Amino acid sequence: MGEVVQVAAPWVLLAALLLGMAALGVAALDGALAARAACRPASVGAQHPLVETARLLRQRRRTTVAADTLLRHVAVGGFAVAPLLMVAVVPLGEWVLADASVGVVWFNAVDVLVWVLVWLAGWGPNAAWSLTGGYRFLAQAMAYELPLMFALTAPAVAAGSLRVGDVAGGQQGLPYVVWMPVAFLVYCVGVLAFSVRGPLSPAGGPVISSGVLAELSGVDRLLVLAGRAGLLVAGAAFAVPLFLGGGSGPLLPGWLWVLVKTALLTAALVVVRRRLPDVRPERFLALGWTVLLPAALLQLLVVSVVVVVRS
Amino acid sequence: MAVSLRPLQRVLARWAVRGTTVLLVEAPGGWAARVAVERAMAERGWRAASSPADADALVVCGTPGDGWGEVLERTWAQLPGPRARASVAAPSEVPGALEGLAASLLDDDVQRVDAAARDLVPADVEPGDDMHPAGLELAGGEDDLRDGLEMDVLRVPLGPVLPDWPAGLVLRTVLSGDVVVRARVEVLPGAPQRQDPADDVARRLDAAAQVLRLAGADDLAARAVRLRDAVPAPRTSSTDRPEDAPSPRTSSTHRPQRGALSGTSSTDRREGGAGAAQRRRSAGDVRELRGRVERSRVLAWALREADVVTSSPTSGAESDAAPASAPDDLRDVGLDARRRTRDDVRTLLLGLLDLDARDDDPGRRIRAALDALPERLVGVDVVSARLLVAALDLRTDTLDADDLAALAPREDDSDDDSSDDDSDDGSDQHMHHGHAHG
Repeated sequence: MGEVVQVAAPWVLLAALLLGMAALGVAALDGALAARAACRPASVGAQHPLVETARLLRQRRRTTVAADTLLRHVAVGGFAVAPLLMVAVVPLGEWVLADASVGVVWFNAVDVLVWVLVWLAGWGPNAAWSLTGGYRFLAQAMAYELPLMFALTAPAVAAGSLRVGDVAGGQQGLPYVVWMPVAFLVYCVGVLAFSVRGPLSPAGGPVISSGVLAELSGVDRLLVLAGRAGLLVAGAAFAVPLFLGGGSGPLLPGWLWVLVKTALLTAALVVVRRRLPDVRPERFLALGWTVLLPAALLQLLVVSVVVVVRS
Repeated sequence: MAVSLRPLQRVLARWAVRGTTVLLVEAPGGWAARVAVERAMAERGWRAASSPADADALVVCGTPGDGWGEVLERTWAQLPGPRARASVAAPSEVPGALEGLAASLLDDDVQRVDAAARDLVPADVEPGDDMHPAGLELAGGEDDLRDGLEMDVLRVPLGPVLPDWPAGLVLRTVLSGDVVVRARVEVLPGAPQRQDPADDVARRLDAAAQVLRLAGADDLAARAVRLRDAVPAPRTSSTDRPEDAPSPRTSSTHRPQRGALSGTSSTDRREGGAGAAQRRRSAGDVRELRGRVERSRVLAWALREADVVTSSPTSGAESDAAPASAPDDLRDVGLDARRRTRDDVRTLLLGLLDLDARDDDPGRRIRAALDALPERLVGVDVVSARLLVAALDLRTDTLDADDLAALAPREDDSDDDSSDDDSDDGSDQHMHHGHAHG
């Protein structure tokens, strides 16, 4: 793991392609697991993303009375863009789209942007279930965002840099996940929370008729579905340089290691979120502030002490 | 140019129809039909839609009675299209109905004509003004509700078109944010139909599956659905089953189809003396599922109600029932507003999965539950409300004519002046239509 090189802007297309394929993979795995639970052939379930994409491409877009069209479009488009903004700072081996000196903060800023997107998606359609989804997401956001922020800080403190490439490079031989497992777990909870699906998805979920998705159809719905799958992938991808040693590993080239680690972590998150029931925001709020936040702060303290002692 | 796109459009349509989403509407008495539709949908890889915007097809299960016409039309108008609709009064009609839906959705020409005939962008009915954008009333404010916020009071009808919701039930709620501050129960009737007690176990498993699905416990819900579809037929011969109008074959025809439709379940075959063994095994499976629900601390944690404090605890209950009228047998199932515990949903769920508990008179239980519901829901958030309603297993088809008359939709309530405008599914507008234009 040496220096990372910033590549030219057109490579963003490759990033988008990889992200899109990974999002399809997430949906396929989800579909296969659901099919298996219902004792149906997993292969049929795995086709779900393609079938759903065809269905939504063919479906008309609809809107509601007195909808806030502009904000709604911002939300829908934003979902497609946010994951790309996240992976822009993730080095793929030695290449990165944006070698920002504040990459970690950038990622944090984008994940806060998800608050705005979900809220606007809830507000835009001017409908009860959507709005309820928005309310509930903001309540939950209070629970996961601060712990997530401190979890992000731990690797940055250890590496002494906010540049994602430096953080990845700082894990020679010993990935940060080994000695900051709590930060890693808190980070994963945060990823599950901002990907608007599964146990930490009060913005959607069957109990409020899909919440922020309730009034979306056609390509609007497709973009949000793809975006939230992309957010999960982007969250997993960012964990690779931060906690999992980046592209370091035997035999395979660095870029391939990044992809493999991202795929494994993504799959693990998909499996975990399927096994848990939906957690209500107020319950998660208590957990976030009484367990996750103190745990993340303690982890940060340990990391800081280690850094000071080592220097 | 347009001609060359045709093959591509056909491929897209074929793929799209493989994942058709169906908005299921169950009228009271349509339980067997709905279950048959769900099973046939699973065979085809179709899934249930969560809202009209998500749906390609509208399937009405059972025979809707008075008051359904406008509800169904408004729901139908909300489907984005390509769209198709079907009515399934009896399980025997299911294969033909789904075949028809697929054919209609595949037919680009039909869909094009349908699409050209309507505009999906709602024309603003009124020019409106600052206080009535597009002719809609703004969200209101009411005194001393939960948090003192202004303009967050919404009137939202829950049901009758809502997934995992009792057939025909309409809960006219006033929400402060997402907390119920008032609720009124109405029931849209279906065709009268006598109960088949033999369905009791399957119906409990169905209700349990609904609760688990709403709670996001997808794997457990799938398990409950499988057990529901595998419930062995009881010993009673087919002549014991009620066969009365208007859909005489409802209860007698769906059972033979079970084996044919649920190809994955080997427990369906009932031949000779194997029936008793299957019943035992099925009961064992249900006990196992109940054990999993009982042991899961995460699920218990997730099902526990929020402790919402309403500053005006007496503001609710439009029910005709006196507060003290909850019969003894309701005290244990979470409907006594003064004795509520936050684990009521879980208690009810475990009760549904307890095969030893018999529900001898569901009609009386359900009438009492509907009477007690408005008061119980005050101060409960909308998520807990939906879980609670699902867990109560409100079989509206057990209500008799007197009950239905008492619970019929009312238009005379000034508190709810727009009931006719919003009677679709609650996913419409949160600021309801005022009567300014009506």
